[in-house]
Amino acid sequence: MSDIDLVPEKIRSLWPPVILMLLSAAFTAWAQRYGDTPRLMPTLAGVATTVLALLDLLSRFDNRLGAGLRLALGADFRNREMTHDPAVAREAGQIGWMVACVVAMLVIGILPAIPLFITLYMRFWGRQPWIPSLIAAFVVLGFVSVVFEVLLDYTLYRGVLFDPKGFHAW
Amino acid sequence: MGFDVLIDSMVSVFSSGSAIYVLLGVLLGLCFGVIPGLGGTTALALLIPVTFSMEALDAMYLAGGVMGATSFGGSITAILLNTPGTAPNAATTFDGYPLARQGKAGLAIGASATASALGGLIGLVTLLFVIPVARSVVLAFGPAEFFLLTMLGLVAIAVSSRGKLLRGLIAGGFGLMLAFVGTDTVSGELRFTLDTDYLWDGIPLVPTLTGMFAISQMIELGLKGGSVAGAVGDARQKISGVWDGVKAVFVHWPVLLRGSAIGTIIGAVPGLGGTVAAFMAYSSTVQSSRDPESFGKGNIVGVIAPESANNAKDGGSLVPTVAFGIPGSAETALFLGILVLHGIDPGPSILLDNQQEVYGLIVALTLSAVGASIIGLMFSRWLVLITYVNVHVLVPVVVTVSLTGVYVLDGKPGDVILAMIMGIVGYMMLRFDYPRLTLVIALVLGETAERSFHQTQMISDNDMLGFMAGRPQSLILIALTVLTLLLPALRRIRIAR
Amino acid sequence: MRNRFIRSLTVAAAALVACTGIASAEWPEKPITFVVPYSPGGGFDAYVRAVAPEMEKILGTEVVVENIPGAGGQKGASTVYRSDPDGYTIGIWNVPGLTVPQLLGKSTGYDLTDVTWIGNLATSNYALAVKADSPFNSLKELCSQGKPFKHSDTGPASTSSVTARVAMTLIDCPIQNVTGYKGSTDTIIGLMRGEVDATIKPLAQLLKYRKSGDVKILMTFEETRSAEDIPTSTELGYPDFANFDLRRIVGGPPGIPADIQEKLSAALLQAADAPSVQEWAASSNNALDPVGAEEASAIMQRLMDFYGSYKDVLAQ
Repeated sequence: MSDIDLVPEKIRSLWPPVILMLLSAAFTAWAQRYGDTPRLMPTLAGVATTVLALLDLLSRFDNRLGAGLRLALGADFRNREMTHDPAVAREAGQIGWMVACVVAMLVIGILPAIPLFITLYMRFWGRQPWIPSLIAAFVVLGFVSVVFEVLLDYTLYRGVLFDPKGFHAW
Repeated sequence: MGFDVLIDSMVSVFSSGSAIYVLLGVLLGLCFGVIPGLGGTTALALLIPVTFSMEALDAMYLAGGVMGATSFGGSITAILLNTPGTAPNAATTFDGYPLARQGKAGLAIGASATASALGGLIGLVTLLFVIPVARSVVLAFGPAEFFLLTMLGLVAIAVSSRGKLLRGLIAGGFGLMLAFVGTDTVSGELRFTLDTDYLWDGIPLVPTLTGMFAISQMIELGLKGGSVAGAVGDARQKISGVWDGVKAVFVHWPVLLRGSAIGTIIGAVPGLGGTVAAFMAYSSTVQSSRDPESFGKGNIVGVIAPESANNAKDGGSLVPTVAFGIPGSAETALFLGILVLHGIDPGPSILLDNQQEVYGLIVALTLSAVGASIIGLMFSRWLVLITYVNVHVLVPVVVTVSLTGVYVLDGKPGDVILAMIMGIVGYMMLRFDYPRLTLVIALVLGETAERSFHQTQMISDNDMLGFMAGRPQSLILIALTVLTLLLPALRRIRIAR
Repeated sequence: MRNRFIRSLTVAAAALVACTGIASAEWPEKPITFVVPYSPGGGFDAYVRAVAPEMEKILGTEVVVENIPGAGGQKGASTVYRSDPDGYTIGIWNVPGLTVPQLLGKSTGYDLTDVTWIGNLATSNYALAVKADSPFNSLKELCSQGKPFKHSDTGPASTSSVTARVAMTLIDCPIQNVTGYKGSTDTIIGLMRGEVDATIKPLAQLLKYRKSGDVKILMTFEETRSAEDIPTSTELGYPDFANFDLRRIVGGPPGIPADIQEKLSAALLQAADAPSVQEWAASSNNALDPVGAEEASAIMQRLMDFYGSYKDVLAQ
């Protein structure tokens, strides 16, 4: 079949629908622990999604059934939203930076984390020169502190290390 | 009729110098609107303590200024960065962003500004006409209709997924599942909470939306590198097109009217909100278009429809407020909170007792809808420059500011973590081509759907269908849902022949 | 407007200095945090924001209102409960909204029996209402219609739902609770739409809808009439009903020294009497019922016993 060959192997792999099918099946099973009223809607949604994910799985096979499902259910990949295809290592790196930003905000607080993350990200992931990186970092820090801390008198999170309440604030 | 009161209020805004509060609100609203993660709700929640020392009427002007400006502000980032500044702008990204990538950001912003202003005005004029009958309108719609409306919304997901029907439905299914996390409103039982009290109140919407739309988009942009507009056009082309965008709205006036009508109606239903309104406006426009294939590739109509609905919903959300003093949206709930704080007791006679404040808000919303768009148009040539900025500057700035915004709404560190989880999930959805907006729409609709389903069951003594059959307003909604389902199928058959 | 960052640094430093013992003689020497366990813009929030500026004047230190919403008020409650008992963190508590989850073992992180009570700020009495053109004119008629009467509510754990279910159990009246309404106003709208037969809600709120001609109030849940033309439950022969009310009560973590508790309590009562607060209460129809620390503790004990004896009804 030609329509499926244009899409990178990674995207049309069988794994996404398999994982989604397992997730929705697990959710359905989990819902059965609750009473009649609270489980009714979750069960309906869970079962329906499991069936849909199964159809998604079948539509990815390169046979007549798959092609038929792709046509009938609009399961092809003609209008992909994200068209570039970065390498997995780069994706992991990018997501890693994002996670590091959240961790920094939670540990040392939002205000120090902002300039730290912006500077380091721009310098080392974005390969920007030091000066613009520092300028961007402190412009954002200034904006956030003026708007929240000064104008609105709001205390931004100080981080587990500096918040007197520590983990209790969570 | 309230027009004379409206004119009085309008005059007093300018004569008393209170217009400065409206302007302040507009600027704040634009600012909070533009920044992903921050929206009208956050702005108003933060302002509540600040307004304590103000006059009640000035607080209304400020609140109205903020409310009217955020949705246009949010469309700017939606168009330029594919990152809706506020959740209701999510549908604007579908055609706004492709336009920006083609170097036609000016066109899109011009259209968005005009559609926002006009949509807002249409919503408010409708409100003024509805005020005399607002009570009967609110009383006519009960749980049965709310349930049918959510079904209509879910069906709209199915038909508007632009060639991604199956994966759109799967994403919608997961949205519903997420909506069911937390306390079941009907039975009070806790579900799917992983034994953490963080999830008792369900999955919070703002962190989820920020993660899904802003964080995931920043991950994608950071991987792509370069700048949004890329190599398209040279730097001088970028400014042009704003006036063409303004004109486009008038050329496509039926789209504007339909979008505004949908926005007003959905806005009046408590619990659905702007995201659903804009999405339904978009999907109905795609559906009734002669050329549905052109959407998602930079059709200007795809910007006009959601943006007009987006601002019109503010007028609609005031219908339950003027009728009974109940909120139609998160923003109007906070507006009522400001009134309580100022020693005003919102109730069924709010329109008689607090005419000044209500009309003050309406005036502020009117001025704000127009004012925000004018300010936006004035700055549009500079705003468009964002698309030429290296993404490695944009990404860390947007990520840090939007995560800060997520924290600010409720002051919960857990929200920041949730936003990041949703960002990664959203990126995976982008990567494997599962539409994110359908998940979000289902997440918004899920709670209302479940709640009103069980309520209808209870009040009809388990004879839901019989109950609905006796209500004309229910039957109309059923007919609309069936029509929405059948139209695309009919069209496909016609094309096939 | 002071910069809070510098302030919190000084606070941290002060805490380090003072950690050997609480120097209650000079209390208060730093800002007091007043926790509202709901988002800004609600009833509890409005009460606290009304009295906080006055308490600030009386105590001579900043009183910072902090909203800690979540888990139906339990998140804020447990934050207050776990904080240091130095009088610098207090909160407003929803009773019986927080009593019932504790009795059912569904609460996290707080125990109402050892909270240091500072004072009761407001008490709302309940009333029973039907639609303005309803055929029902008394509770008896509602109970004897041959099927359970439908009652509108937000959720089974809400204070008015607890009131309705316990009260109707007391008199063996069959009731079907239609839950899931979005707020107490919405439950009244549901009544007006004809979805339910009756609703039990705070009297002050129902009076507004009676004024607009939307509902008919059959009786109030109190001993002596607060509205001249509405009979009370006691008059109508339901003496137990007067026990039900909604309290906005102020308290701090267990173990606040008695002298600080006394200072806070006096400040709260004085603030509630301040002209600005009185004016706010009158114009916004938010009645005040200031009661000191000792009496508040006694009320809490009584309510705990009262609701505790209906555990089986609450668990349904």
